[in-house]
Amino acid sequence: MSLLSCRGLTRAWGAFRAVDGVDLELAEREICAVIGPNGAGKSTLFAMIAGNLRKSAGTVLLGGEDVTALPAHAMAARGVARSFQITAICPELTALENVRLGVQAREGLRWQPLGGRAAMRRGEALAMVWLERLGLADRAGLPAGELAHGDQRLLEVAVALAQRPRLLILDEPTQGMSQGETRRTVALLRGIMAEAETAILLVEHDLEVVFELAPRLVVLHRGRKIADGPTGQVRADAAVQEAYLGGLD
Amino acid sequence: MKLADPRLVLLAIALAGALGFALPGHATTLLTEALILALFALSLDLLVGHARLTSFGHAGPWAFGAYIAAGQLLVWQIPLPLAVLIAGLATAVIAIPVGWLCVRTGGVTFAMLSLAFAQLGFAVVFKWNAVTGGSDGLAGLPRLGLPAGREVFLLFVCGVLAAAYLLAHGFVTSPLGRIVAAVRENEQRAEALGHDPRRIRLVVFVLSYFLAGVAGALYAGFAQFVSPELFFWTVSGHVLVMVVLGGAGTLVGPMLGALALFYAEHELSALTESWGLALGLLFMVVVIAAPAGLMGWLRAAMGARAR
Amino acid sequence: MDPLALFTLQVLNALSLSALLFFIALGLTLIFGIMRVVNFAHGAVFMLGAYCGVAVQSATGSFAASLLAAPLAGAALGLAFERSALSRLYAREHSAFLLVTFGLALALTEAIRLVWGADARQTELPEALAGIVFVMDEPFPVYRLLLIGAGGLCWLLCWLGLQRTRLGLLLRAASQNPTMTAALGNDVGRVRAMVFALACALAALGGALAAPLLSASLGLGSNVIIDAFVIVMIGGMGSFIGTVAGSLLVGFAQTFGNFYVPELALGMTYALMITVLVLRPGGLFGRPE
Repeated sequence: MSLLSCRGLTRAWGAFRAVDGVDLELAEREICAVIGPNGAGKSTLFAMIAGNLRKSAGTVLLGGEDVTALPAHAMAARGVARSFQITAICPELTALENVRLGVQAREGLRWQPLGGRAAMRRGEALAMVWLERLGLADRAGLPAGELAHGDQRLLEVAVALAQRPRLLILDEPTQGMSQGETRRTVALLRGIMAEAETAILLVEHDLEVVFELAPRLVVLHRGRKIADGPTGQVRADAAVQEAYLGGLD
Repeated sequence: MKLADPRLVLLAIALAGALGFALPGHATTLLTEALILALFALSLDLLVGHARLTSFGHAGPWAFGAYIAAGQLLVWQIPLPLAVLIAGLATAVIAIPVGWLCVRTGGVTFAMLSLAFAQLGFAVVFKWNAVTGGSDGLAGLPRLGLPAGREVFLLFVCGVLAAAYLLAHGFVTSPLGRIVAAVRENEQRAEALGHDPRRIRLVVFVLSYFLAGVAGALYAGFAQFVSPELFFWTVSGHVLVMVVLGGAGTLVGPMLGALALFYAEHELSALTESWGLALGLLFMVVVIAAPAGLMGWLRAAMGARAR
Repeated sequence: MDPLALFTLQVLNALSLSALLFFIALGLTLIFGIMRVVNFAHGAVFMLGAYCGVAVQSATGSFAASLLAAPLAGAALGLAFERSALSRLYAREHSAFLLVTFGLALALTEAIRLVWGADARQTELPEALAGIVFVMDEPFPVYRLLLIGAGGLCWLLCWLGLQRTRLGLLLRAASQNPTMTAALGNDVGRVRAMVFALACALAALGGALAAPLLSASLGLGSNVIIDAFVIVMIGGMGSFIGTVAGSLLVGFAQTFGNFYVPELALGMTYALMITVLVLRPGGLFGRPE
């Protein structure tokens, strides 16, 4: 059974369709990148899957359960974690606290209005592990708002990973990073993805990143899916090249 | 030791209680009122400082708690300690529908909605002569259930304040309290972590209103008199100034701010009529030039010395 | 009294109240539309206008003079406040604006109390305006009709100003996109100062106009700000049409509510506000927040 099953996802504003009848299946632990030119509807698609945006039409099944109408926080509670195109971290909280929030979500540390001191400390220890994996351990005590842009993007990934989600949605994780930072991030992500128990949906503009990380590629163009298959195959597809890849080099 | 170490705070409160036996009667009474206001400010800090929901209507739960306590003391002869708790719980119950409406909004709308509810309270209490005594209020509230004496009453207030502080501090550092911080910092991120921001805010709202109701009930027992003016926007204004002056979000700051403002007002209003004007101006200056308030200034000063 | 005549009179009463409310709500919506600031002190400025008006009239005996002095005082205060306080906060988060204008409201109320004392102040209308006319055979104060006229004139002038003048164009542009407007070389700082001063002048003028009707008292500011805010909320922050619609709605709700159901009248405004906010958080005309 597939983890994620999207059928006919559509988002329309009047006559304009940002996403038009997209089907998408994702198996457990599968890694898939979604690419397409600007305005192809990638972020809109992700927003619909994660529950940030209402669907004009279509259904989403997560682990067999119909989650079409669920809002973002309900999706997150069901094991969907995501990073955003515009970095969404808690600027005044430390990097460690930010990641610990992710651990909290996972460990069910929510509705305790008092106490929970020991559990929180355990959470912090777990959070440190993630920070170390992403090379941010030395900045753990800094307010997240003071980190460099590239580090903030990594922090967001750390928070999402700490949630140990079933489905991880990464929206342009290397956006705004320098070449060096991007290369480091790719190496990092590759290592983590290899051992992680989560399925990953990735949006990226940087095609180098995509080709290195994703074995499967989905191409969107003007809201429609025009290709879906193994990366090598899709790369060679003529229609895709014409619509998108051919123009870029 | 950190400036805001809870043990220090509890020690200070205990000392204040003990002071009651050393100070002359009039000073004890002043200290009692100051500490009740400190509790009031503490309750608002949860909303304004911790959850960053600016409220212009905190006089609402304060006055509500006061009136509920008054009713219990007058009508059912309920001893004050129990009356205070019941008043707090009643305020918390009312805070659920009010809060549900308010937390659907944010920013300015939240501020104005909270003000509107407080003004509504004023209107209801003002008109409902039969039950609330109308514009005359309710006087002669008996201090039931407590041994007589200002020192004892001061100890009682200190006890309640200490308990409230522990509750507030415990909440802020708890898992739920940290989620409240996440919601205030980045609502989108909090949602992505599986939390419903409205529900989270509602929890803080109810807790804040609970403590404000307790403070109001204490005040009813202290002044032995309640009137519609307790609902007025200037009361909301005063407590807001205390919080901002003291340093929003620090819990300790607003309590200090309450004490500082109370005593300053007491001393200065005897000297000059323009104290209110000076306060308004001072408030503006603090908001512009020293937004972290007294605590911010103290921390900076201590940090500078450490270097 | 003939029910139709009664109804007509109430409609006229409502219109005159709406006109007064329009003066203060317009300023509030202008400030929000252009500067994204909610001026909590706007009610206090209205109150200042009322007191100023009364003072000038008792000093000079001229009602017209009070109508000139009040807006000038309002504009001066608005300008001073924007330059000295508000302008330092534009980079900060919005709660700072809320707080600082709140402080202004406190300070203003106290200042008024210092200067004029705690008693309400009444003012006398000049003979020409104090008369009555007969509407459907029933007496009706001339002054209220004049208020309707004043409100209508204000609306017309503002509408023309926004639509037909270059300044109006600038204001509309700045309300839609302040950054771009600044980038195009316009001094957004000056625009803000002017807008704030203008809005305060309008509020003060409204206060001076209201003084013969409502009398100047210390509670005026806090009552009026809630009404004004309700109007702007209902009509949508920053929407000109919305402010007109909102003023009419609130004016009518209060007048008719007061007349037919006096016990619930106070609650009417709040109920209206709560209803609108729950159904449409951005107001009826504004953008959803």
